[in-house]
Amino acid sequence: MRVMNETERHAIVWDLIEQSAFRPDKQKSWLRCYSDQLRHLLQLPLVWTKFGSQECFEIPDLKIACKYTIEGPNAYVAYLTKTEDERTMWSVHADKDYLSKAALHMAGVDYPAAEIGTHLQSDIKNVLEGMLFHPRNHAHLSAVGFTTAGDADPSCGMLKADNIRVTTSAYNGFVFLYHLAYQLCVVSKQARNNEKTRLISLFENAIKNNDSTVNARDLFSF
Amino acid sequence: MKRREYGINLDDGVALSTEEEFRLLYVPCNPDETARLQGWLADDSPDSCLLGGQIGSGKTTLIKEVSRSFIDAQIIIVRFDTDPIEPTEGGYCMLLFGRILKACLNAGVEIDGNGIALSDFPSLDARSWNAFSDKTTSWPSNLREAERLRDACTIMAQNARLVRKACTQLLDRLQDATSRQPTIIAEGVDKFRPGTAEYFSLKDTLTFLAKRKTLFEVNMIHLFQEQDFRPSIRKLFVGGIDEDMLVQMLQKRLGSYAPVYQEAFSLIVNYSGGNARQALRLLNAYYFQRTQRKNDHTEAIARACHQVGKDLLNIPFGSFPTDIFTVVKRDKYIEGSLFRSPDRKTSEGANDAVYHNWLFMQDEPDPATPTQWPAIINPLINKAIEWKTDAPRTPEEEAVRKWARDHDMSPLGLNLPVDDNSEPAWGKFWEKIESSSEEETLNILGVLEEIGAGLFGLERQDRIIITYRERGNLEAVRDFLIGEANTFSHFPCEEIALEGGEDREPVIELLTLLADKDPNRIYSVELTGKWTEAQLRNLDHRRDILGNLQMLWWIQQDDLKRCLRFWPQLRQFFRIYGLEDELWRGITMEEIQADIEFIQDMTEKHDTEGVRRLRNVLVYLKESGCES
Repeated sequence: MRVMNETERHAIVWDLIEQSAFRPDKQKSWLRCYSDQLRHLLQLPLVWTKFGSQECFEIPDLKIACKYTIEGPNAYVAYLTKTEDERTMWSVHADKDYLSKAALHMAGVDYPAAEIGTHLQSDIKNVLEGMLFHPRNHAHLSAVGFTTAGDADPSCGMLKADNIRVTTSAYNGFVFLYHLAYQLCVVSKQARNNEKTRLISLFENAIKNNDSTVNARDLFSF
Repeated sequence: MKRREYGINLDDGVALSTEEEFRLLYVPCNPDETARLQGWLADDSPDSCLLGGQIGSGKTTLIKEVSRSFIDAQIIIVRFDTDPIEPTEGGYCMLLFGRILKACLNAGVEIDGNGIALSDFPSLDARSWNAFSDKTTSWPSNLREAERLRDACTIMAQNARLVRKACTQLLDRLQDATSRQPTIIAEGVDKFRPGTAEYFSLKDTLTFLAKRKTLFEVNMIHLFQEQDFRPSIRKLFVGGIDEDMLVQMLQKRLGSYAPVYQEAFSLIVNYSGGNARQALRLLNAYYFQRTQRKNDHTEAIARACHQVGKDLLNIPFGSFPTDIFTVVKRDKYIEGSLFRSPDRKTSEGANDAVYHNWLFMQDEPDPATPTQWPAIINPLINKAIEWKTDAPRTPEEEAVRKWARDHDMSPLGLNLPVDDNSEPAWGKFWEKIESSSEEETLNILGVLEEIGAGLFGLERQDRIIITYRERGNLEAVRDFLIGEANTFSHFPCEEIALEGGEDREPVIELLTLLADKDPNRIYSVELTGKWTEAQLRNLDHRRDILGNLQMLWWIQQDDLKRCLRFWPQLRQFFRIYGLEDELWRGITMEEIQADIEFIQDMTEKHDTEGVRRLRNVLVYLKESGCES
């Protein structure tokens, strides 16, 4: 039997992760969970809020707001606004009626059992880097005039705005929202690392156990 | 409490206790007192010591910080505020004996022959000294057990001298066994105001302990009552915290986000008067105003001062020592002799002012003027008065006052005129204070926004008092709040009804119900009946048993006004909100149904506590037709 190369394995892992966690059957619950847990990741006090498919939420502690409309995994609109001057820094519009090369891919095969012990963890890590943590195509918010407390006072421990990389290629709205939460987690480098480790472990277990669904509660258990 | 490693950790100013809390949040505010306390603990002298400071000054945190380094030192901790079964001499004696007994048993000391026998207390039915020490140092788990303990208390009270003699015997034996003076920390004496019946009952125990190596946690005003302990007892004073230390405290609380809010630090520090809890409460309220209410800096400061002043400061009309205020304002110190003045009105006024934090004692007197204690008026009160003699204010402070004045918000911005003698016109001041202390009311969504940070996470355990005018269907309100909390995480709720009044035992009932405390539970406590003054004071002393519990208390609004007069301590751990009559404005049945479905989705169960409670709300809304 032919041994799969790394690119083929990555394609399968990407697909498995996206299908299991970012194409939720219960989209309303996914978004509610996201709103409940977003502030956990950013290490902020919790507030009473419930996100729906159309929302505008603000993080006053970062002076940033996000407005989005999400119709389904393949169709969404999002805007990022700097709240100090209400200037829109960034917007993205994913139109499901048009093709993108990435959206065409459906691996349709299982991850090779023989590689689980040797490559699965590193494959998941690489995929999550590209999907959420450091998307290949991205814009640095620092490039559009956004700053964090870390820019003015590096000693406070907050990451600089240069570390906020907003994807320019996410065709899936749920992936976009999740990656945004991670990118806005500038509270410390270690907090990001902890989140990376948690997600890698979460998906490693899911794939090993052949779980076709990673439910929102587990996904957002920051 | 679980704390955030890098982010924001706000609370209502509870003492730090865990390793994690000390690592993340501790600021060495009182290095001299810390060193002196460490020295006292390390030496083997039999001297006792008073550690005194005002409410919220950080005494408990300081004791915990220092005693952390003496874990193996066989320290006997006796919590006189929270642990006695009843606030009587018998209750205090029983607790003390039980704690000393426990330490002796741990050290393998012979117990028999101390002058007290197990058979002296038949109601306890203790077959061994171990059982005796367990029963006398833990809360009863039911009312029957409580009754037995109280019977034992009665015997203890009748034989108090004998019990103290037995304590002496045991402490001497412990000293022989360990070759060291046993160290006792008498916590919570600060909750007992001199002059009350409970303090009177405690006095002989204090005098007894003062002959041994005991550290007493006391309020500032106890430092002027050394005759209740022993003449020339050593004293340590925890005074006002330096500005830069308070800034560090605020920075630690905000973690990496601190620079975002640093513009508020100087005013928060200024309005805190050097008091740690007041600073933390101001920060908490300011943060809420900025982030949730989206208010600008000036308005957020004014509203935070208003909220904190309302929650923390008990300012009863008519008994306010205005003459002392005027003198402190002028001289910037208070004469120590005032606390023991033969003129009862003067001594009560001075003690009241310090005990209730209307005045803040800042530092120990300069050796050149040993009777003059540097003091200031609590800035939250001081700012309400237009002192003619004040130095010009900063533009920032002026802006805050102007905003408060324009919005008729007390205690800031009242700007009372002074009379011809440059003294404030107190009569008018009182009218305004009284009228502004009326509760502002919120509908149920407003309450949810205000208390959500504490209700929805494990990072905080807040205690909230919710007042109402007409009781109506409070069950539906409670079910809604608990149900919403359960959309975040699973929070079981324990419902407690405490009825006060003659022939009732509400505090003991509370102790039995909290015997097995669960910090992950929401306790919903409804206070009803005509609580006696003794019951209210007894509850006030127990403040610290609530420190790490998540609680919603429900009290009729006129009843609360009476309660607060007796709760200078308890109110420190609560925030107070009033419910408006149009309670359910903004709530729709569709949203509640969606919440039910969400909980079911998340838990994959159909009959969780959250679901049950929200279903109750749906039924109530349908029946009453009060959906918006």
